[in-house]
Amino acid sequence: MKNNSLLRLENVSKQFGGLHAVEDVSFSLNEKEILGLIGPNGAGKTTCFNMISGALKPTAGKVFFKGIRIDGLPIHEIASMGIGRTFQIVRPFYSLTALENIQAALGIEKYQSKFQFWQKWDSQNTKKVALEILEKVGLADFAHYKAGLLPLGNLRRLEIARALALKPELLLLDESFSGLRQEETNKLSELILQIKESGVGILLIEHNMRVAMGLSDRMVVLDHGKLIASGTPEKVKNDPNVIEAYLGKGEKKYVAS
Amino acid sequence: MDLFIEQLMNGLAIGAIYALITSGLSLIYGILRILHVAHAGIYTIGAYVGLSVYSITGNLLFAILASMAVCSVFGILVERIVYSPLLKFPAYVPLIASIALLLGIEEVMRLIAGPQIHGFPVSLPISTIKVANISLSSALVMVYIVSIVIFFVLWIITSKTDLGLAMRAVSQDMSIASAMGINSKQIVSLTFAIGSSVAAIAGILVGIYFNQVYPTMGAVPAYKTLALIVVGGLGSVPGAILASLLLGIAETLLIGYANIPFPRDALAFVAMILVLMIRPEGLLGNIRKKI
Amino acid sequence: MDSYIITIGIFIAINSIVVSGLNIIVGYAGQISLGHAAFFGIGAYTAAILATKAGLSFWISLPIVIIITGIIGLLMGLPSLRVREDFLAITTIGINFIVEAFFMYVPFFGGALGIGGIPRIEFFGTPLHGFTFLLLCLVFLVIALFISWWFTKAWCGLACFTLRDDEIAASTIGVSPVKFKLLAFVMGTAMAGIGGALYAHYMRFISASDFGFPVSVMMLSMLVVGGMGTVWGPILGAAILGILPEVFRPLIDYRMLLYATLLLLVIRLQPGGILGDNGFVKSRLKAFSRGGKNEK
Repeated sequence: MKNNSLLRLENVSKQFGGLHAVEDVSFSLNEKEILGLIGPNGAGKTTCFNMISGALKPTAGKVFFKGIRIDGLPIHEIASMGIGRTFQIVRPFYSLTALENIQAALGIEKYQSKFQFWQKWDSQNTKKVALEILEKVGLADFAHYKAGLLPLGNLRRLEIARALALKPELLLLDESFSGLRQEETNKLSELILQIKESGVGILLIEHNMRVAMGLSDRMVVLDHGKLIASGTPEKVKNDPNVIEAYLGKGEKKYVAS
Repeated sequence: MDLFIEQLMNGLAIGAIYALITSGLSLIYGILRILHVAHAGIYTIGAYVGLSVYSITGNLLFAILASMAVCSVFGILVERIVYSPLLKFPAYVPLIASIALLLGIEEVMRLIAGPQIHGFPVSLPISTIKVANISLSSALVMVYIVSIVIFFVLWIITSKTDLGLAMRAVSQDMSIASAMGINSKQIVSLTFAIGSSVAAIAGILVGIYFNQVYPTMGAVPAYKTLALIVVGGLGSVPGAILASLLLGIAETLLIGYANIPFPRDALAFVAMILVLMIRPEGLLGNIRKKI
Repeated sequence: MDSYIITIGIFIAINSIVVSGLNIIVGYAGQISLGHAAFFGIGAYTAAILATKAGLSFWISLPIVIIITGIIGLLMGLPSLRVREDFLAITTIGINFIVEAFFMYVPFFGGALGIGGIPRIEFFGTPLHGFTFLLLCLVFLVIALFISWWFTKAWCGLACFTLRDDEIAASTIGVSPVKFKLLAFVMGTAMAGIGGALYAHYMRFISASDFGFPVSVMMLSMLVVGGMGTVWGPILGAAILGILPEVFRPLIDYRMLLYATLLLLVIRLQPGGILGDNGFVKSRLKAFSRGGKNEK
């Protein structure tokens, strides 16, 4: 059993009443790796995310981050351990500017402290660091715009930037590409690859199959809460179970291009 | 023992009146998720209009109907002019508006009718009814009969009619209901109309039962009924009714009969805090608390 | 200075302090509190009891007032802050009624008669009243404003702003909602307690009905009218709602109606308050200046 993976789910299940949203799912993710989590609608992908980030507690199974068990811990504690996440429906701090959104995230250590949170937040240093992060995602020009006024493409990048400000070792990206134009999709893909290169592990939920296959080093496929396939994109693409899950029975002979 | 039963009957009547006010409030909360404190103001208006029309015509039924009509219109106006534009703001914004509205209504009533307590003398066919050894005033019987009828009608509307179905759909998700072809705006207004009519009836009943109509008669019910919809379970009309009946009995027996030195009006809030700590979804609640 | 003006000044000053506390809870942290008067009352009664029954001087009882009000705020805040918005509104209303009932019925607090004979505050032997008392209140007001201002500059303030905007997103950047909501709540209630102590020593007689729900509504109105989430909003609101009744004194019979109408109009037309983001003042300022970094 490999114990040096960055993230590991062990027999994780989540039940809502009688509904098994996630059933006995196990997979792991390593550093500097992009793992694509795919599956048809309702497969349980976001539920998995929520169990990793702390929004939900698994009904069974364990979640390990850097060897430490994190299932059941509160969201803010998991965040402070080095996991950042974005949301499918963006959640900016709309009354703050883009720069302030990032500065807010830079306070992560201060928020955990007993008294340090009384210190000033708007220092030259945090401004500088925040601006650098905005530059990395290409939003430096929008630094002083109120986040509530930015268009969707920018907000998605802002979410990623905000998660990056936490200096995470694991980044959870929830459908970051949905609703984006082709050009924005390309730019975002580039950015994500850069993030990976800088040493961050990335878990990606994505519906855009071409993007998911293109970015992922490995993939994990869920259907009806169960893990039905895992491996390289090439292997997963041709896996008959995966094809059946997406296209229905009788399509096993059809190979997606 | 007889005293106990009399007090029990009394408590039940008070509970029934609370239930009338609270059920309208519950319907309105269910559909717009706002705390319509001004509902107690409409209840006050109902009492005054009922009293005025009765004084002029001498016909109680007509007074009730006129009051229901006036209050429905007023309720719809409040919904359209005050609440609807404020829905996108945090919850305390419409709440403050509602509180200001209640205060305004109290003041207008005071300026128009004067601060004194008006009686509501109604000549009913029979003055007291004796059952076993217990004498029940006809006002009390009237409260029972009217409440039962109203609850029955509400039940029919909400569970057996298309309107009720539409109301439930809109209260679950307004945009989806609209997408399904339901005229959500109309349903919301109708809900206010129904709730306000029931409040009007409650106002008149209170006026007759206690023989008191005065400008601040809504002040205590305004907040007590809020506590009651929490105890009963936000969004549940049966829960609201049950909680109201229980409170009416508890207030009358615990404090009136057993003489426990506890402020009667605070009982509802203590019950509410207990419910929030032990069983936040309320007695019969069906709206899940946010994580 | 005319003693009438001084009296009004004292009321505005005390209210500003209390409402500044409310501002931290509602304006900065985005929580609802419709029971703030309860903590005003707890501060007042604590000060009154310490002065009349324990004979302590104001200066010694002040830290005790702050601690007690803060602890009760903590105890009440803990269950309240985990519930949904509208639950919270009702819970704080309930707290107000229960605290008021407590002061009214527990004999130790004087019951319906309240507590009287509260001594004046002494500063190095000189009793403060009138103008000197106003000065004292202003000193506390300046401190309250400073704390308010500092809060917006500190990480804890920023954390509260994120909670206000989006609690879930705030969690994901490491902000513990319970910790920071509680912090805001305790700070706000402690400030109300200080205001209460000043009030007790000024009025020299207090009773439970001074701290009922309508007072909470008045405090929230001041905050709303002046501008939530701004440092000066509480003062502006306290001033407007403090002076208006005097301005309308000839129309005394219509005062409450005018207050209700004003409140309704402000909340309906300018929910952010006069100093708030879309409020009257800022939009006039925007009309004058073009650009400016927060305009786009």
